[in-house]
Amino acid sequence: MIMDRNTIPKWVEKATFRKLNRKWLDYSSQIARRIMSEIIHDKDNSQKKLAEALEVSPQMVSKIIKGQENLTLKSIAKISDVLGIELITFPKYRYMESTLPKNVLLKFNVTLDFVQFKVMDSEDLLNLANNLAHHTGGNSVYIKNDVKNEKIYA
Amino acid sequence: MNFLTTFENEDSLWSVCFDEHDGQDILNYLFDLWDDVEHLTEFFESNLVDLEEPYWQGISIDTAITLVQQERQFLEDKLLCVYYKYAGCDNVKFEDLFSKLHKNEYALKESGKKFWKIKLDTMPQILRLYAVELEDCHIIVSGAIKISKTMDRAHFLPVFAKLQQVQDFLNQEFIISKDGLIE
Repeated sequence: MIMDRNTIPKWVEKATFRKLNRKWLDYSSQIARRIMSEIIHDKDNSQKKLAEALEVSPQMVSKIIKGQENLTLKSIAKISDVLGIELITFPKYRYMESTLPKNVLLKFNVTLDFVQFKVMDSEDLLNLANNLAHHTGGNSVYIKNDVKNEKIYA
Repeated sequence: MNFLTTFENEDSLWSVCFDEHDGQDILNYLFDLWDDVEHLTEFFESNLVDLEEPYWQGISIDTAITLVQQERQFLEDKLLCVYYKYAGCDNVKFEDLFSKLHKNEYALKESGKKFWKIKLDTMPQILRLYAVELEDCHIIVSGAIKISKTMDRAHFLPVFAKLQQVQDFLNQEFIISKDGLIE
């Protein structure tokens, strides 16, 4: 039975490290969870494949799935390719927003070309509405059929 | 069997060092385990039936992992505060840090402000420490992720075994206070 009053406990060293590196360790944990969800039912084989693809040791792969590794973007991309899943996504940001002011009403009048016209069924109209919505940056779009007095929303 | 003080120059909280964990103190072992995504994923996959109980409001495995890691972070931060004697953490006693739930079972005492970043205010605490109480100190012997109301799950067996092992040792050596731990 030994009592040691002078050694700094190991937990202090590790807890301090985790506290100082919290942000990237959180990222590492999120990536590890997604990797584990893909490989959990065939872990040994999958770990070998990952080690080969990343050209690293099995011990390194073990650290990765524990959420303790500071991965490079290149490594994340390789793991993503091996597993066939996206490991990281990016939040929307302002350059993704439409350049059109949000409150502009766009009204398209569709006229029939006597030479060339197409009878559009409801599925065609829905596809057209969806395409218009996409091109207008997600603004609310509907196609109004005056004959049937109905609106088809994207 | 070895014992290690948790705080430098302060003897109210100790950890056992078991050979099966390569001699590292149990507190360090538990913190590593509760940070290990591989372990946590496999644990919750194996105990999914307990997560599905209304008690946990159908939380996902991902949320459960986050609960464990955040509660562990908070526990580490609290203990670091005491260890480094930051403002507000002077003369903190074991009872100030932990609530006794049952014999040998303790949970981190919640502060007025919930420590989870995810807003699950009705979620119960998920981590437990198991300690033996002497006259003037506590010895942490084990810990567990508690997702069932009862302790009849297989993963509690090592907890009971360790508690018994340490209690037997203390009885054999007639140790009733921290003086008995000091060589």
